[in-house]
Amino acid sequence: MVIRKLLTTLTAVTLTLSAAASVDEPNDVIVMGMIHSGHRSAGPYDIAHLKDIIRRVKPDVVLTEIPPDRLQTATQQFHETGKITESRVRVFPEYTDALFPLTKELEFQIVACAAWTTEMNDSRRATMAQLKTTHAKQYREMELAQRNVSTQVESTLGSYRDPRVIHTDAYDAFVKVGMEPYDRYFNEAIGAGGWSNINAAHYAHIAYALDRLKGQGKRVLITFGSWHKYYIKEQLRQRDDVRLVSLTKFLPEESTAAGTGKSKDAQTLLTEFADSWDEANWEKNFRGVLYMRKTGAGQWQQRMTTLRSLVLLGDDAVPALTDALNSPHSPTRVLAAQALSYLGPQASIDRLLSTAKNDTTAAARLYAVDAIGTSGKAPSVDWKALAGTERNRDVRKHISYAMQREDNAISEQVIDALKQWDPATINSAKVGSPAPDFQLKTIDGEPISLSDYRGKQPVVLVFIYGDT
Amino acid sequence: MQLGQLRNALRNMKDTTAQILAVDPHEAWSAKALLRESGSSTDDVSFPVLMDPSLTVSATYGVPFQMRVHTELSNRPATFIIDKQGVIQFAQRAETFSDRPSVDKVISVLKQLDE
Repeated sequence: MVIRKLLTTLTAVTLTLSAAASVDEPNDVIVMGMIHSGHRSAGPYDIAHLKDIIRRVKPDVVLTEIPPDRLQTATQQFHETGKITESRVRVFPEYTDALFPLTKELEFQIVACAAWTTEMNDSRRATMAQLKTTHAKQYREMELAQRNVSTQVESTLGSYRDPRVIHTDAYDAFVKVGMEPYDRYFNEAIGAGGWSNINAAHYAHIAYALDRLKGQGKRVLITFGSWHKYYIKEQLRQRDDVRLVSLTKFLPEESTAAGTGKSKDAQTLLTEFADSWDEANWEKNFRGVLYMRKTGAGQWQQRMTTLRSLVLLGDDAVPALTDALNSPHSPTRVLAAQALSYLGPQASIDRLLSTAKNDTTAAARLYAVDAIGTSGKAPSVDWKALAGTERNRDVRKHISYAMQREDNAISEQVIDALKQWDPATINSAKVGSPAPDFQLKTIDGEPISLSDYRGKQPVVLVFIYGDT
Repeated sequence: MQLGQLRNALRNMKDTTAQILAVDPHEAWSAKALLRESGSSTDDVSFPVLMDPSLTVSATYGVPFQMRVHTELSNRPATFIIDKQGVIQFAQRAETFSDRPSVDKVISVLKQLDE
């Protein structure tokens, strides 16, 4: 059934493409991520900007997220009345308000490449409603992971609705990670409308169109929802008959400035972290599998990118982090104390000491002790008195480390490494792929790079938690 | 930990010259303090222990904040085998506290690389 449907729509794709003579020149392909109703709000990716970007691209062909059986109606409506009421196409302002109107000033062909059908949509909705009760846990994990995408994008890249942010590899990486639980748990159950399935079906239409255009030296613009973009680009990279061109080449200067480059303040970062961090489930998971989070649980990634963003703010983050030591939310206190341990002498020793003495959460006390140590002001603290009242063995251990480090503050190199780390590389080590290179110092201070061994010997890389 | 075991086994293998690298998510001085506490010194560790206090390599390899140990949110134990060309051929991120590939498993993966 699905296959037959696909074949029918593929035939429709073919029919709309004129078979021009091949000039044996690869096509330039540009993938543009759409934010649908988001284009209706003011901002660097509103309808006016969108039209401007498409003008700069000057495409010969535009492959769209319009189903082949809807394109004709929409086109006809636009020519007759200037408006599109066709039920599917009208949900895409990028087509009704930008692409179709642009046909009056630019010459390009619109090709329908969406595999979407009403039946698929209805069945997906019904299945998801069922799964919400039958697979409540997985459903919740899926929701959290999807919500994390916008939080991570906004905390590390900038506005979620800025084309310069949307068209980065980092954005694609966040989306891919965020959609992974949805895909893993539910793709099969949903069937044709499942995430991998619909992506593959959309791409089958795109591939069919590109096959027809092969060797014509055209400029092909692909306009799909921005969350589909990573998949489409992954597939396109495997084709040797197209040149993949980044959309960022066509962005006007002003949208470069708008919305990006300005980082969030520490308070916002902490609030977003608190909203997303699911402590109850985290604790439950910890107990369930010997203090180990389930592999694939995504929250650590948000914690890591938030930590880095806080440290990136430097001195500006210190007041909010110091206040957060009194947050009623214990994971926020733990994170704040840990972030302060990377901010060196700027941290307030009195407030950290108060956390180290009084916090009811052992991890907050432990990281507060660490932060006093890394600030280089350890000698000013009466550690013996603190150790005397501390009931947690691990915290007492860290107190002894803080005493031993005396006035040795954390090295600038460590702070810089965290600041310069590219969050897009998070969790990027995969079997079959090149191992992400790194340089670290040994316990004796000698720098070693993974690439030192390339071409010479294999490496067994073992991550330990501290006890060797 | 089975790092020592693994090192000894590799040493006894004629043809494999794999390098073991351990990554520890702390500053060097705290790792040294730990070693001192356990009565050993850095000389007793015959493979490089790389310090990753910024947690950036740990994050790139997908392991931070996934295990609660010694009250910290620490790294999930994990093992990666990287071939001579720099490609990851094996990855195991622990599901439980002591979930490590056996020495035999590591050696068999390394032997396959040689073929």
